[in-house]
Amino acid sequence: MKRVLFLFLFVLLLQYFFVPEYRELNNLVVIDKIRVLKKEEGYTISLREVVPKRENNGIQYSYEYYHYQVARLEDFYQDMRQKKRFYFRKVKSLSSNMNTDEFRYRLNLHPKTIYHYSTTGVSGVSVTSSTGCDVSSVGTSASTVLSESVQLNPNSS
Amino acid sequence: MNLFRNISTVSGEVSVTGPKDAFIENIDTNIGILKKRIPKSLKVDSFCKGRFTNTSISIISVEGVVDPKLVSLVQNQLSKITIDGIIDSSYLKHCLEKNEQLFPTITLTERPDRCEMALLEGKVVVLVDHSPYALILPSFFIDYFHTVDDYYQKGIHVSFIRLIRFLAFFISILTPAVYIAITTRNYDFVPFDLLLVLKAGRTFVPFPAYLEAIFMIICFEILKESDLRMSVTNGSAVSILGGLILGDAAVAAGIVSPIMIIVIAISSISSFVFSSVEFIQVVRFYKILFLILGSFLGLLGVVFGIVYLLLQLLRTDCFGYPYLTPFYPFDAYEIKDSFIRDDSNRKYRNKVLTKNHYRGRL
Repeated sequence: MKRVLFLFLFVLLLQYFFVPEYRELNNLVVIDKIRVLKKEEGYTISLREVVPKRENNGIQYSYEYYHYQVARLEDFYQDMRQKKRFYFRKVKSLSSNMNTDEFRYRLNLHPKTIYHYSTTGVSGVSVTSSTGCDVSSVGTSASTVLSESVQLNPNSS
Repeated sequence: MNLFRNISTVSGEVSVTGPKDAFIENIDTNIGILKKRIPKSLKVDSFCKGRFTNTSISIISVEGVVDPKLVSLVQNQLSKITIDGIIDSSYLKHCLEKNEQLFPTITLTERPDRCEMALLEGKVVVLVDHSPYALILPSFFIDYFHTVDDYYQKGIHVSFIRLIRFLAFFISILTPAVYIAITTRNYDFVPFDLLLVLKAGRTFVPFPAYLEAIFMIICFEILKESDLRMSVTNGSAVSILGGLILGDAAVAAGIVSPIMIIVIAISSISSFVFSSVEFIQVVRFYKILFLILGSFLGLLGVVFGIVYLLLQLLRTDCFGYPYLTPFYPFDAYEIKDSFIRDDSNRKYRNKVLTKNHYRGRL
């Protein structure tokens, strides 16, 4: 009996301190792209969620956009911590007009591609890449990312 | 009047090549089969057990090869048994094995060639009257990964198949647990594209993944049990109805995800590479244990499960011999006939089992 009680307590302690929170995959919001724009009045953060759906002819992908206007980045972190169903660890691309290191490490993001905008405009801006790939192609991709994230879904929050 | 059936072909432990004869319910015939195969040095100790049945039991070994201590240990253990009747050799198996040990240490076989191999290796065979199954003891963990066919084919092909069996063992016990862990807690271990495929598979599924897995395992066990109890013709109908129609309908209705069906099916089919029913039951036990651990603790739980499994294997007492031989204690020579088979080790017997190490010498 003592052994069972000990095991039960051990599992509970482990679960509380060391094991990631239980969340079903179909309740998880998988974010693949993030854009952070620093403006005079604060930050504009856009997130793109990939929504795969099983259909008769295979898997169909659709996208949901989430748009945040915050005065401080800390507010966004706080909000994200509360909404644990957002999953950022697999973010593929991050585009920003600011030094993204802080943002990256605080959210524990390690995206494959990072786009840097030298100006805070919406389109037609010069782009430099931190990943050492072809700047012209990055520019095209970055514009696509940008335009995608600007065209927000009116239903999304 | 002949009260016994004639010698028939093997029904359970099918082999591609090799002899096809099997033991029958008559102990004298079974001893005769073994004597015909090993005419020299075969030692048969017979006695009766069972207060009401007075069933004949024979302990068979090869003199000069078997360790006499093993024979006396078996005789001693059998003499302690007090029982009303021995209906089948399984009764003796349960009396000889320790209850608290989950892994089997005695093999039940209907194949005389398997018994012959075991006898020549230094093991002991116990035959019981009215039972077509012989007991081979001691049986180590590695023995459940071997088949008689392994010794009738070339080493390189056998090595491949044995590695597949090891893989099947791990697939069987780990797949459902790992799937639950990576889809509910440890998403970081899955590549992005695969994560999306897994997420798509779970679209519209209303149940938690662990409940879905348990539901599927129960369904599969019901199917297996009904298939086993039905006649051959009805059994195939049950398989088709259950496996194909119900499975397809469950996915279409959105009750289970197609990936979960694949996971449970591959896990259950993998356990069928083993011919021992007891070993399949142990694999099923660990599959469910790992599933529970994976659901509560994610991949950390799976790691704890593996540690527990290893501890249980190390603690298993196999008539005084180490159950994990030749891995622990490590035997560099015998390892050549473990998860692989190197033809060069045919010269020597297992050092753990016998002092008569050289094959072909007395």
